[in-house]
This record gives sequence, C-alpha cells and structure tokens, in this order.
Amino acid sequence: MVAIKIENLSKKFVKKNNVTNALQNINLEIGNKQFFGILGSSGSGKTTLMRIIAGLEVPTKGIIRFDDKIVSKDGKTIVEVEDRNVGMVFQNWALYPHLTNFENIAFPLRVKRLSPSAIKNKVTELADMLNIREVLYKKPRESSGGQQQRVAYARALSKDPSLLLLDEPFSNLDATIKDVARNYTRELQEKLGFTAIIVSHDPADIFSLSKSVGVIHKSLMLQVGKPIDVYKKPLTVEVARATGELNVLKAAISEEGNGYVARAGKNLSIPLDLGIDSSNFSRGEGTIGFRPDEIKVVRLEEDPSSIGKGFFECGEGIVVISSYSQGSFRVNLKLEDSEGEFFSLNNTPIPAGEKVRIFIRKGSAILFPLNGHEIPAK
Amino acid sequence: MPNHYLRITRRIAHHIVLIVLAIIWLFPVYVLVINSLKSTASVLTTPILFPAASSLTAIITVSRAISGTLLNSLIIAISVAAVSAIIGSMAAYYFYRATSKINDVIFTIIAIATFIPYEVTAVPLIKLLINIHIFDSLPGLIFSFLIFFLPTGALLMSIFLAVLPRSAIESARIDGANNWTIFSKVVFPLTYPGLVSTFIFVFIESWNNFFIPLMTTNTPNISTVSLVLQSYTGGYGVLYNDSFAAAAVASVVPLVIFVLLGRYFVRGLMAMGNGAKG
Amino acid sequence: MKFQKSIIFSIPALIFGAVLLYFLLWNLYFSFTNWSTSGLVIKFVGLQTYGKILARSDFISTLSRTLLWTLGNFLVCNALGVLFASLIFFLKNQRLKTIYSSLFLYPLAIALSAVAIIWDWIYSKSEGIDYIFRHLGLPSFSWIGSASQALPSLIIITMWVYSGLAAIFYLAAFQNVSSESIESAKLDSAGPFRILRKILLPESKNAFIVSSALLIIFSLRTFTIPYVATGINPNTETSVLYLFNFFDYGYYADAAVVSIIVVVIAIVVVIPYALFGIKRWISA
Repeated sequence: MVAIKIENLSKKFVKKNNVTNALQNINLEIGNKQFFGILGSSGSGKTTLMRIIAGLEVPTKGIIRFDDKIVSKDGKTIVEVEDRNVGMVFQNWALYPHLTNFENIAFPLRVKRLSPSAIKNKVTELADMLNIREVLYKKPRESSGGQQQRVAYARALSKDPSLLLLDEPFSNLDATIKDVARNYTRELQEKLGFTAIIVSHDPADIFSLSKSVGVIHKSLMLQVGKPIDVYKKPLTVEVARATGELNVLKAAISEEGNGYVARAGKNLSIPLDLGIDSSNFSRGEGTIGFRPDEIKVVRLEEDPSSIGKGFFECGEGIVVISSYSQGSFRVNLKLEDSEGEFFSLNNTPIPAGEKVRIFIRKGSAILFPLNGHEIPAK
Repeated sequence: MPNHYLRITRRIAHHIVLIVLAIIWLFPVYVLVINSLKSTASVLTTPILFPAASSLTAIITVSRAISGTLLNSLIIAISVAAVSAIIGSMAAYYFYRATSKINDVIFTIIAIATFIPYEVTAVPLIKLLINIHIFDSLPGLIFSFLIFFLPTGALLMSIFLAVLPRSAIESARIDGANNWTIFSKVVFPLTYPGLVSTFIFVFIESWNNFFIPLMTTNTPNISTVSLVLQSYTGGYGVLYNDSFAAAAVASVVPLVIFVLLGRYFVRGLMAMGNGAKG
Repeated sequence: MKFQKSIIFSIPALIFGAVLLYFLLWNLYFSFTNWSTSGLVIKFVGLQTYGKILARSDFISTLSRTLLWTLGNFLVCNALGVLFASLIFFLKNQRLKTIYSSLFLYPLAIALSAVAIIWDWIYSKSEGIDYIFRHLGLPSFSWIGSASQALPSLIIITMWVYSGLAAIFYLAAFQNVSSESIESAKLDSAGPFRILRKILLPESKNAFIVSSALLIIFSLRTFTIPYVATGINPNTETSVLYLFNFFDYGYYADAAVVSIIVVVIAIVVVIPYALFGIKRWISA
C-alpha cells in the first residue's frame, strides 16, 4: 500500500572518536505491495537500513520517500515514526510484558482512541486469523514462542499498516515451526496486501517469502534482484555466500574452443557458461565458486552411473575428512597439486586419503567478475 | 582423617566469627530496646547495659509528646518520596530518550547534586525560603527536601530505566504512542520495582534527615521526628529511658520498612553505585 | 508528537537542579565579600575572606578532623566490608546470607540523630560501656568526652553505621565472579583465603571504587552525629559544623568560604565517580 524509494542513503555512527559507516550509498526501490527481502550477515547494516525505513534512526545522508512523500532527508526526520503507519515485528518480538496478549494487540488501537467494541472486533479478527484466540487473555510469557510471535504479528497488523517490517522474525523460533510461520506470513501479506520488508541472515526466509531481494554486506548493497537470480548469478563471492553455502577455488581461466574453462591443479577442469557478455570476466587468474550440492564424488572403484543426469566428470580429488551434517555426509576434498579445499554432500562417508572422481552439474560453476569484489562507486 | 576435622573446625570458626560480629552489630539495638522499656525507678538503679523490668511508660509519654512531629515526618517523607520517584522517573525517561551530549552533562550535574554535602547550601536555602515566605512551614520543608532528593530520585530512576529494553519503547513509538503514553503505559509499569526502590530509599533518607529541618524550621510543631530527638539528648535532668524511648519511636518506622521491604532499599543503594545490576 | 519533546519530562527535575546550582553560585559570589550581620555594608573583598579563613587555626583543625574522619571511615569500613562480605559469601545457606547482610546493613536505616543518642549513652561515663570495663578491671576511657579519644570513638559509630554499605557492594562483586573460576580453584584445592585473595578481591575493583566514593561523601557530610552527641564542641567539630557555626553567628561570607572549600573537596571525589558511573550506565 506504499512504495518506498531510497536515494543515496548513508548512515554513520559516531561513538567517541570512532566513526562507523553502517550504510553507504544505498539506492533501492520497493514497489507497492511488494515483499522485499534484505539479506546480510550480522553487522552488515541490514537492521540499520530497516530502522531507518521505520523512522527509528535518521539517515546521515540521502532521501527516503514513501510513495512520493519525503519521510527522511539528510539527517532529518520529516515524518515521525508515529505517522509513518508502519508495523514492525522485532527479533525478540518486544511484546509489552505487563500487558495481556489482548492488550498488546489492542495497544495501537487504544492509542488511536478507537471504541472498545471496534477494538474488540479487530483484535478478535486478527486472533482468529492467526489462531491465537485461546491465549488472548494470557500474558506473553505464559504463551509459547510461536504464539508470542503471532501476537507480535497481530499487534503489528492491528492498525492496518501500509508497510510491515520484519526484523529477523523467525530466528527465535524452533526449526519445526519456522516453516509454519513463514507460511502464514506469506498468506497474511497476500490477503491484506501491505508492502513488506523482511530482514534476515537466513536465505531460507528470503527464498520462501520475498519476490525481490537486496544483499547487503559491510554497509554496501551488493546486488538487488529476484532471489533465484541472486542465487544463481551472484555478482560477488559475498553475495554468493549470503545466499547459501559455497565452495571457492582459485583457478586459471582460459579460452578454449568456443567457451571458457577454469583449471585448478592438473586434475580439475570446469567448463564455464558465461552467457553473452563475457567482457567483464577475467582471463588468467580468477575465482570460481560452486555450491556443494552441485558437485558429487564417487570412489574410484565405484560405478558412477548412480550420479544423475546433468552432471559430468571434471577431475579427481583426495578426501581430507568426512563429517556429518543435516542428513548427509560432508566430504571435504583437496586437489593433488593445488591449494584450497572444498566440499561435497554425499550419502555415505568416504575415508580420508581416498581418491575420488568429481562430477559437477553442467553450467553451475560461477566465475566471479573482475569488478565483483570492488566496492561500487563511492 | 585430619582433613575432615580441619574442615569442621573451620566451619565452626566461620559461624562463630559471624555470630560474634552480629551480636556486636545488634548491641546498640539491644541497648535501645531494653532502655526504652525501663521505668524511671529502674533507670536510677541499673546501668544502661543491663535489662530491668519492662514498662511502657517512657514510650507512651514520649509518643504523646512527639506525636505531632511523627505526623509531620510521615507527611514529608511520603510526599517527598512519591514526588522524587515520579518526577525523577520522568527526568530519567528524558535521559533514556535523549541522545545528545547535553545528556552526559545533565547527568553529571544530577550525580553531583545527589552527593553534594547539602550542608553547604544552608544559607542561600534559608534566604530563598524567607524570600518566598515558606520558611518554617511544612510546604517549605517539603520544598527543601525536594531540592536535595529529586536529583537522587532522578539518578536512581535513570539507573533502573537503563535496563529497559529499547525495543519496548520503539515498538510503542511504532504503535503510534506519544511520549506521555509511552511513559505512562509502558515505561512506568515496566520500571515499577525500581520505582518502589526509589520511593523506599528516599522515604528512609528523608525520614532520617536531621540537617534540613534544623536549618529551615524554628518552631517545634513544624519540626520532624529526627530533629526533635535533639531535645532528648543526655544531659542534666534527662533520664535516659526518655532518650531511648524517643530514639526508639523515631526508629520504628524506618526499621519496620527496612525489615519488610529491605530488598528494595538495598536495590536503591546498589543502584547508587553499581548501575542497574542491583 | 516529536520525541524531542521528551525534554518536557525533565523540566520539573531541572528546576530543582537549577535551584541547587543557584545555591552553589550564591555561595561562590558571597565568598568574595565580607558579609556578616555585624558589618554595615557588604563589600567585595576578593580573596580576603579566604585568606582570613585559611589562616584560622580552628578552620585547619576542623578540616583536618574531617579529613582524618573520612580517612578513618574509608579504611575501617572498607576493611570490615571485605570481612563481612567474605564471611557471608562463603556461607552455603541463602537464607543466612540474606539475614546476615541485613544485620550488618540495618544501622543505615536508623536516623543519625537516634544513632547519636544511643551511642552517646553507650559512651557515657559510669553508666555505659565504661561500667563493664570498670568491673572487668580494664582501663577506663572518656570516649567522646576527651580530646584525644573523641575522634576514634566517633569513627567507631560511623563504622557501625556504614560498614554494611561497603559489605553489600563487595558481596555483589563477589557474587558476580563466575562460579566456574571459583570451582576450578577449589579443584586445585585452594582454601577460602586463597580464593578471596586470588579470585574475589581482584574482581572487586568496582566495588572498592563505589563504596569508597560513597563512604568519603558520607563522611564529608558528617554533621548530625557530632552535633547531637556533643553539640558544638571543639573536640568533635567537623567542617560542616564549623560552617554551620559561622552561619549561626551571622558570619555569612565566612560560611560561604567554608562551603566552597567543602564543595571543591566533594566535587574532586564526586566527578571521577560520576564519570565512572556514567560510563557504566551508558555502556549498559
């Protein structure tokens, strides 16, 4: 219900004699009714960006517009938090511990001086939508984590905000209910039609919810785009790492036939799919990345036909160690005559020291562009 | 096994030392109690360290004599404690919200105001009270107490408020609440224990204060109970059971509060030095 | 409503703070005059009144008594505070810990004028503690009645009042020490004294600073105990009593000079403490 435009936004924090750049030169447009994700690790500046949008912090430089109206500009708040009509779900939910869940949800409505019956209707409607009717008259601490989170949603939504801000809303939830929470978040947004921004370090939140994502790293917005594009075609190693696990190898890049090949050591050679515009990419020394689930390994004596279609053999490696994580074995590998380690996910562990054949999914290796690491223009 | 005996001996010694120290620390109260309960006859026959047959005569006589000042003390201590806690927590709310450097300066001033030897302000204080015609009156006393205890209240509440999660106030702002709503509906209820501590601390301190009423009053019926004790000090013609009875009557209120709500008093004390951990 | 408007909330407190500041400036102003009820006109005399006061031997003796009293309190109460805190800390029973802490702290809840009365009688010749001393064949003391014994006797009173204050700060510091490091010391078969010396005390620097600052400030303020117990008496007079005496006799400029000197001493102690407190407060 509101479109947001951010122009040349920077934020500096000054503490004693230390100046920290929390955000530098951010430009962003978030369309009306869009679900936008801000992805970044802790300390990247992502929460600061959200707090500036909310109006809880003032940008040092730059302009923020809600629709066409300027709400913050160059160190000044033009429209106060109270008047921005935003709802926010805090990481720790920030429920008022001394009030019942009902009163928590009713708080923004009481501030607006709605009639008691209107308040009751609104709270009950939201409670039904979020399935928290049975805990309405309990205090937040007497409710489960999932319930508290839904109360926080209901409070944020009770005043019909045009923008909902979600600050790591799932990080305090058990893994089992995270998906449930993501699902009702999506449903609420579709049903109520508010613009939403979610800030998270967890790519799962972004991929399950947002239609568009901005990846922020060390105060810089490195890439903005559809989640799938950002995942498949990250501009920098940092973006690739923020969106999922990544193997990175130094490699020699050369032109061969009508394409490019990356070689690491004697044994590994990976053809690269660079698309049309290859002028940006380096030749000679370069950095390639590939997701661990895009490579598979097979012991020398094993039959490689178990590996699915789309994979082709690209070289040979030596197992450093096998460990277990989340349903599969993580096999760490090195190359015989080259530095650097990488890993693959396997159904069975492979003893250390054993040689394996490496397969990679066609077209999945990423060559990072020359200027990809560089900081965008000041 | 000798180690075993060593440990038991140590434990016994530990307890004995504590008990001896506790007895020494309780000794003045023992003296206070036994002597305030002595009759005039036994005053003349026993030294003050030994008990005698008890009688409530001294307590009753003294209570009658100082009942007016007891009431004054109660009115002053309650109103000063309440105003200091409430106004102090409002100021603390400002400190909590403000981000400018002035904040540090004002806070330093408040800390100095809390700890200044207030005796030094006696002369200007009296001149001011006389000028605004409240010298030697209950309002004048309350005003004088507030000058010294409001900074204490603000200091204590600032420290209690510092542990308040910022997100509680931020979410109230996002919910559209103004300062007054945030203060009354969120900050005030959430800092309730700190408020009680501040109230108790200021209550006990102002009940016990001697110097302020000494300076700002000169008629006995405006006096407070801790000041009136002065007339019961030892000297020719004063029987010590009256002295002790007066001290006992004056000490009952703060001591009962200390026994019942001591933890709040301790939190107040701790906050004065230790920050919010108390 | 803009949040900057929250400054309104501080206005009532600031008004009272401003009054206090006005008092201090008032003192400063009149400390440069010769104002007294016996003089006819108030004249600016620069530092003349300061010179006069600083040259008086009774000013020097009350100031040195105040500083000696402060030093005595600082040493005795800190030492007893550590003793009480460690005795209480090594107790296992939580209830006993609370009871003993309260036992050492309760004198703080009693009016100092009542404290003065109680101790005045305890110290009284023939009827007080002297009675026991005499019957045990111990030497007799004049306590607050004699010039040489008055100050130590008064320090005993303030020791009784303020040691518990130091104790709770030390106890809080001890309880903040991680139980792992104490347990690992116990595994190394360290005794309580070693644990106290090597682990607890080094972690108590904050408690030391805070309790010392409060003890010093309370000692500088000492008025009620000597005033109620002995009246204005050259053996027990402190700086604030001295200034009260000037005021009583109408020597306002002289009182102002003593006030400024006391304030300066107090501020030298308060400012570092306040800054220290602020640092902790802001980083909290």
